Amino acid sequence: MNRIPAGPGAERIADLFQAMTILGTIVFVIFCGALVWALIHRRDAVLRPTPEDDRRRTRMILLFGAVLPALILLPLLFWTYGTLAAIDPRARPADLVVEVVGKQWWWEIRYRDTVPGRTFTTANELHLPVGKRVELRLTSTDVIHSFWVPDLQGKTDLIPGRENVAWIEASRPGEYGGQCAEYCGVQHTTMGLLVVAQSLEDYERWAASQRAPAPTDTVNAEGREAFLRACGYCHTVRGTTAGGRMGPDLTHLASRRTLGAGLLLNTPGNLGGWIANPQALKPGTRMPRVPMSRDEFRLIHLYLQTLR
Amino acid sequence: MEDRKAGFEWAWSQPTGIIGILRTIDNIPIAQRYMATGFGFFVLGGLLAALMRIQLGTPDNTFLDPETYNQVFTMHGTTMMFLFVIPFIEALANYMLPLLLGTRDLPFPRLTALSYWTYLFGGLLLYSSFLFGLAPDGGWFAYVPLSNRQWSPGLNLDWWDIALSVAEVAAMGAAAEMIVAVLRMRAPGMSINRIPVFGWAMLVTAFMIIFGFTPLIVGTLMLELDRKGLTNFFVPDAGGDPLLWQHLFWVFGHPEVYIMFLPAVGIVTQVVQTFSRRPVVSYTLVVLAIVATAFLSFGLWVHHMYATGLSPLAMGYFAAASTVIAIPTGVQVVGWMATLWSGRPLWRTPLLFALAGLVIFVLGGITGVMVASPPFDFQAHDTYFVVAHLHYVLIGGTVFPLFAGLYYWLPKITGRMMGERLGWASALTMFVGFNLAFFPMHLAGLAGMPRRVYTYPAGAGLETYNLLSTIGAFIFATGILLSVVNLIVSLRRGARAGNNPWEADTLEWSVTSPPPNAQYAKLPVVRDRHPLWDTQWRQERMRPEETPAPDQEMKEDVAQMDHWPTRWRGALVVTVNEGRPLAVVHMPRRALSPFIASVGLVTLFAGLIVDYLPVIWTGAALVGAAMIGWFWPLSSERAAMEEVGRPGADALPLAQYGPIANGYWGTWVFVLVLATALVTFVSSYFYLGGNIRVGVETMPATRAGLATVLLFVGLAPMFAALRAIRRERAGAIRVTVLAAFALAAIHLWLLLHALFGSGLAPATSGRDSAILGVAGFQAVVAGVLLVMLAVSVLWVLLRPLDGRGWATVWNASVVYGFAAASAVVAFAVLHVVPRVG
Amino acid sequence: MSQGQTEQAAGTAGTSAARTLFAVLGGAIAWALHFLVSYAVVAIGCVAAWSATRLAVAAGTAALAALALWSTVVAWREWRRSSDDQRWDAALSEPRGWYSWLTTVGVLLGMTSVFTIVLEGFGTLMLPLCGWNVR
Repeated sequence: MNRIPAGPGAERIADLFQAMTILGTIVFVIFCGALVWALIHRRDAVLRPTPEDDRRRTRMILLFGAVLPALILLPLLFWTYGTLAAIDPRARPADLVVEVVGKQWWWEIRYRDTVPGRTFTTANELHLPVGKRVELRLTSTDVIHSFWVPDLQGKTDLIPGRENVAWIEASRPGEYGGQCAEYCGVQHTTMGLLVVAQSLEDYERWAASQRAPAPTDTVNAEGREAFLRACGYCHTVRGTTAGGRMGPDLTHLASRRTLGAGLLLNTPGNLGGWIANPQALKPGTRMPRVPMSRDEFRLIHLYLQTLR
Repeated sequence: MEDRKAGFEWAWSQPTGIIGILRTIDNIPIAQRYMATGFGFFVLGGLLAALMRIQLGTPDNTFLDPETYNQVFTMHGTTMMFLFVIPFIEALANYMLPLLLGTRDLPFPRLTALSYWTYLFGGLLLYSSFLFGLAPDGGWFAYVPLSNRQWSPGLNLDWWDIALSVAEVAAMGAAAEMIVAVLRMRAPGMSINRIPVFGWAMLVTAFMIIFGFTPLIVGTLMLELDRKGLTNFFVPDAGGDPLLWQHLFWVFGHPEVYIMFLPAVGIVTQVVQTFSRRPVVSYTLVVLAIVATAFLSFGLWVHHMYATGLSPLAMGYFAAASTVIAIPTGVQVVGWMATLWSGRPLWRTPLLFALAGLVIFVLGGITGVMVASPPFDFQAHDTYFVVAHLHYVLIGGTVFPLFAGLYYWLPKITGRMMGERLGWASALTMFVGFNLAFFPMHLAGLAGMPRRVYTYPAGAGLETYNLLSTIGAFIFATGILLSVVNLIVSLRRGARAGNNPWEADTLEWSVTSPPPNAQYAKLPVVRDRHPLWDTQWRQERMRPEETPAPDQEMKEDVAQMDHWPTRWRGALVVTVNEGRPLAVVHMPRRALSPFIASVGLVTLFAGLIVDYLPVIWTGAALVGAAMIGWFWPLSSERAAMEEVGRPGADALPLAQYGPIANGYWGTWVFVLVLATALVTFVSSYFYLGGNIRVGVETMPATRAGLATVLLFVGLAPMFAALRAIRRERAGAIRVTVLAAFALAAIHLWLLLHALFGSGLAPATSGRDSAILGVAGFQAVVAGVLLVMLAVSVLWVLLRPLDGRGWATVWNASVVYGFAAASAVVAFAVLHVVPRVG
Repeated sequence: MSQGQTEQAAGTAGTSAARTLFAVLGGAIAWALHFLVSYAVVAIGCVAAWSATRLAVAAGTAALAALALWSTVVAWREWRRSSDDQRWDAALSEPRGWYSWLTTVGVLLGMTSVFTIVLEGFGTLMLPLCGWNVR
């Protein structure tokens, strides 16, 4: 198939899948052949099957319809059991713990740390070091979502009222797309996720920059003020007084690849369009069209681009 | 004899005129309307699918906006799953079962009519949501919390939830009919091992409907209560649990697809048999496979929930069962192949459709075994791989067999042969179109395309697959259109079908095409599994002494039933195992009450959707009036009582009351439903018990305990009433029934008192909601019991020695026994376990 | 046959309805009980953190597999009793044949049930017991 597994979770599953597909194809081909033969083979003009014939045929039915399938299915079942045990999150300890909170229709991602002050929050983009096991703590504050990055791992649901545990690990660097995989409302389709697997050094660098609060220099004071007025109610920018939790944390918005949970590339043009009228781009999204003057818009637009 | 024939024709004549259309309760006209309506919903569901495929044919398409698309896919699924497949199967069974079994009608004709009208009006009610732009948009499975009041505040989901109730009513009615029909209403001599495979399939399916639909009824009730703000079964912040909904839905949802598949197995078996020109090899194994599949299908449901974070061991059980279920299916498939192999295939359209379906189904079964494995399902769940799988098994396993059954049986129904060339064209077009539409979806899913998305980006590798699917869908639709054209043309110009154009083996081919309304004026006597193939096979296979001719008693019973009864409608009831004639059952000729009850029911549902009391009361009043009409004594039954000999006489007795009566058996089916509902409520209670966040005071135990004890005490007069009936003592009958009634009334009063005095706050607490579920259900059962006893009281006060009244006492006694048992269970669950555990 | 009476013993081939039902459906019911009870025990055991959960499930599996086996044996014995010179799946069946047929179904259904219970039981040996979610 098109996708090549890039992590041990997806690899284990892919092995099982390949075996099942090969076996299934063989079974299907044999079945079709047998059916065709059953239909077209030569037979006598008049039938006189005896009870002995039918008893023999009944034994054949049991052999090919029950015993043979059982012999094929049983090993597959045990392989399933084995894989299930192997990909259990508790099979190996994790190197990193990340909380993912599903919301309509974006992902809040929080990197935990034992040292207070080193925790940081971002949205829709998850970076991880290659070869390290990341434990995911999954929950939701509204409806059921599902975390799925097919190249790395199977999916796990985010269910309000519970915290599910899953894990991902990437074997090689790259960018892997993910998507919400449980129907969660009108914009379920545009709830995408980007997973970036990097070398350990690159990851540490990224994490360090993410931990830093936004600069509070006077150069961007006007823009910051405008932002706080228009957006601070819903969004957080660490280092300012904007502490809203309804929308994504924007402290390092400019460092992210996409906007609107994978809807648009994060370019100045797209960013402007999004701020001006998110409903036109993602109808039904929870971000309203905030009324603002042209000047305010320009200031906020520039300010956000400084949040690297 | 001519008088007798004329009388019999009169008894079985259909009512005429417009009012006649509303009063008909005969299975043949009802089934025809049912099938036409079902097919209509199939077309509507297909149109919705066409809209979806147009939207998905190209990436980033804007043909449908997101909200509209979500409504369209929800209604497509809901229509196909609730308004097409099962009703259509019920309709086909309503038509064909009496013919296959050798009887004159289904056991509860008014219930047949009620099922149909409720289904028609309910389906229309659901579709009316489109007119207001309020079509349901939560998916056909309506997961909470999305479908609950906070995240879907509009009326869309109320529409979905309440209109579903009509599918539930229709299905339950059909289940009761089929169980009693297959077990009791057969031709003389049709012992249990001579029932046609389609009959077995419907019997097993009917039981599955009872155990499978009831959790859905409970779940949708809970959801609607949650949505109205009265409870919190599924609200996590209040102590509810969203996964409870998933369990309840899938405990229904998985057996549902086997409810769709097993009748198709029955149809395919009949078709393969006829078109191989030999009996199916190993009838025993096919029936066994049907029964095993039915049981196993109830052990699969969690495979829809693998991604929710469950215990791996628990997933293992369901993975094992999901894998093992392939084995009985394999037995069936290989059994058909063996039959074809050792037979002489007759290449006609029905066989072609059956084979096409078989090939598609087997592929779907293979992908099914794949998704049965949790690790693989972690990748495939909620992707187009599953969409492909489910359509392969449902269309291959049910739709193609239904077409096979239609081509097979339409000559019997209409009296005209369908065109062979058009039939072949339709089958091949549908086969090609189907595979082109759905095979690429496997690949789209593996490439990462999730379900329920209104579009996908260009450059993700999904364009080709989706375009092929869209093209294939239209080719598939064209194939279906060809069959519709075939039907229309054949109705006018098809060759006239004789009684048995296929030279088939089962009883329906012994009557005219179309069949007379009474179906079997002269009852056939069955001596083996293939009544119409008797002579040929018997001579070659068995010793004469092993195929006994009917004995004298059976001959006399059959002669008695020849063109009889003449002043009322009667059919034969036989023993379950041996198929020996047991009694004659009276059936009503015509009734308006089912139609009125349906109108009332759907009015009531509509009022509940919009929360408008006048409409609710109107609906309730109509239902009440219709019920009074329904249970009002029938003069035709009085005629039956006068005509049939007293018990103990030589002639067949009247099956009017007690274990010999169909109504008694129907009551047991009803009690099975109640028992399943009780288990569902109790399980939900324990499920939510672990989620306690809000403390709650335990309900007062004394009142509930007293209520339980009183009901148990009431069993004594209840059973004494049955003894008094046997001894025909009017005075004793009156006293005992009144005593039972009084105790049941006090029981209900105490229950309600306990419930309302308990301080429960379900509007803010999930656990209280769970308690309300169990306690409220108790009260409902007690209420139903009281109504039944009230009817009995009326009878015994006015006419203590009338058999019709005795029937109500016998039926009430069954519900009484259940109510007492469930009162004990509820008491233990609500009052003993919390204090002990 | 008079009203209000249940069917005579003539319809049950000289044995009780209960024994027949047990022979035919006992295995399947044992299987249903097995997975329902195991599922419930695992669910409760994981929430309440019982250490003996796995043992309880294994014991239940053994017990219910034995029940299914017993049902199969009863069905087998009833089949022997009724069959005499019965043919296997005679297409044309005699009046007595229905009982022999029912018990045949019972034997096969019972065997399927034992097989499935044991298969599900293997999960107890190989799989992690509890889910990894936290409420």
